[in-house]
Amino acid sequence: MSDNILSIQNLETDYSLGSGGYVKAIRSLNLDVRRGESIALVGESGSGKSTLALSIMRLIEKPNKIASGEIIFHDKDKDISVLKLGENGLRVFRWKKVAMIFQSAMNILNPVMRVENQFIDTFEAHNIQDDYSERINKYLTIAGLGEKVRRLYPHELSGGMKQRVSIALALSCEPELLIADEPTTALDVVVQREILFELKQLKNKLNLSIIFITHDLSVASAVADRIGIFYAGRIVEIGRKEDVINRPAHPYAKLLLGSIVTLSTPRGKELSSLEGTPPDLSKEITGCSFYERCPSHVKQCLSYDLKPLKVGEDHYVECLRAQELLDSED
Amino acid sequence: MFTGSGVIGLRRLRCKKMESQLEIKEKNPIDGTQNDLIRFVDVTKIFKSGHVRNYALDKVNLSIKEGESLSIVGESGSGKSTLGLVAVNLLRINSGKILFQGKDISRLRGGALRAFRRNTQMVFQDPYSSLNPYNTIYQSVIAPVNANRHYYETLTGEKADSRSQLRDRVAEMLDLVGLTPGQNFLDLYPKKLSGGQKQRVALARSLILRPRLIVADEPTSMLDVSISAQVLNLLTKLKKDFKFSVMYISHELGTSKYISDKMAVMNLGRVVEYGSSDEITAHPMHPYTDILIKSMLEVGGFRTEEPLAKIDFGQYNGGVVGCTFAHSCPFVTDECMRQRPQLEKKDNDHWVACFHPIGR
Repeated sequence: MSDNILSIQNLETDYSLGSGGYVKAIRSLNLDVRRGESIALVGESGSGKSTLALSIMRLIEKPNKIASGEIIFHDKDKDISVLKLGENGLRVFRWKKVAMIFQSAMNILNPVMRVENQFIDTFEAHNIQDDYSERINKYLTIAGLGEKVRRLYPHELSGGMKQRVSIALALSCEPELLIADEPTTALDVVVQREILFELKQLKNKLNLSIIFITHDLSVASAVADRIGIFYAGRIVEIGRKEDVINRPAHPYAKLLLGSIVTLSTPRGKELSSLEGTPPDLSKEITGCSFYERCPSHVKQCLSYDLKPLKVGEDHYVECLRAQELLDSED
Repeated sequence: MFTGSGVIGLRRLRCKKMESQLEIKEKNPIDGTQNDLIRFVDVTKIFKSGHVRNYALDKVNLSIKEGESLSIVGESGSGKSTLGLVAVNLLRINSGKILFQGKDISRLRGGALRAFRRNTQMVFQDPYSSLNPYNTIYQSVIAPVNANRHYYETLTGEKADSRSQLRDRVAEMLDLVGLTPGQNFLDLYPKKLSGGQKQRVALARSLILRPRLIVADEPTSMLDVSISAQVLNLLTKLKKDFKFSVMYISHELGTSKYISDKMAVMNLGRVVEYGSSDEITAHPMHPYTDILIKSMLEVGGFRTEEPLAKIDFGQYNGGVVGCTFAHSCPFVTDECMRQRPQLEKKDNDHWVACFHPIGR
């Protein structure tokens, strides 16, 4: 059995512009998700992090397309090539192997169905044969809800409870990999902490692998073992949580970290600001995509053949000057 | 459930005539009255839905001094946005007073209301919907001037009838909010701008009449982290340049503390803690504030790994007899259920409405 649960190689996902042109939302991306780890993918809006999640779930619809690449799910006994799955294969793959929690918990529940019926719908769609009732109770409890919730309609639930229901739904078919796309963005701080805490504990209890997608580095660092920083459709830095946070090597990661405000940020401290806008992904980008906004760019960056460089144990950065910049800091 | 508030209401009526300046002074955090730019005295706002009365604001007492920034924090449903709306008189209050530079503005109408509104401006959460998509940036920013031509002329001492001069003024303002060069932005439509740029336009529009008070309701919550940092930097800079007071409304304690000197924590329509933001975030006294702060995340992870008390306000809509937090509070006693704790000064620059404050 492979150490990884999911391997993504050279993935490219394109969004159609309608006139024959495409926006390359994911640009030749490589990523390995290890069995039993939680990895957080952090990036700003438009960086392609949600597109990656949709690509893994095969939810990219025409005219948009996964242009090339390979997504391999390493099942217990065999490898599944996700991009080659047909309708029936997908039905087994989705939810039973990989499940997803969406950002808008408010919108994923059917407003005219009781909570329990939404579960039963899921079970029927994915051929689950056991006692439904027992299963519903089990997963509602796991997600921190009472059994009473079963008989309620979504409008009777608070935002946090809806998100818990969607977590319970995602776990109910016992997936091995969970993708959580901004699971707490619309929630209050207290509820956010509860949900993240819950997910962290569930991961250990159920031996899940989790891909966390978030724009918030503090959320990422609360739940993840590894952090990957997304920029313009690629992962520009990836490493263990402590390394990325304490010793960020990519200039973008440094700026992102410097712009975060938490309770321990002193008042009046100038926050680092990121000038300019991300590159236009409908055009060909040569070299480093962060070149124009980067405070420490040099000419060679433009001809840089993108590949991750090792700057520490299990810490890779796509920046020509990463090592040099790190050394000058030390 | 609401009988208690009814009794209080009756007593209030009887006492109304006796309510002296002295009493107002005692009730209010901050002793001085001269420096107060805006002061809320027993402000109550009730939203009725059917026969249910939701107390969005339940006898709120607060004040903001000239040049001071106060952040209002709390979870959704705590009434913080309502407080912002009544501060600029976009919503009428049911009872109480709002004193702006000493004058009650809560019942103003017509010209007097217009005159007041020149002094307060609002920046909204969603920059995508707070700008008219059919107006150019110039038209959006100049709108307050067009509505208050005479005032603008006395304010700046120059005639407001030359279009080219007004365009220059707007361009200067756009420069100030970081849209440089401002001249290039004048004739663009909002769809050409990014979220952060739109929020800058909203700031420029709110500053064109040099208001004394800016109410900013979650101005960065729709923006990306790096863009939000730019807006926060800008707000800090503008505050220094224009010397206005800020009422910063947010559910996010980190940015609130970063932006403001003072902080007020709201819970179901009541202010439960008030004081210097450093003091409150370092030594919270109200159990609710304590949970809020412990729930915040740091870069690096959770602030605490210990389990926290669950908060559930589901069935409450304010206006309760006792403490609004009593049902979720780990330190609750009988007293908390029977009597409403008043905001009391416990420390230098630190007020709390709790019978069992932490660390006391």
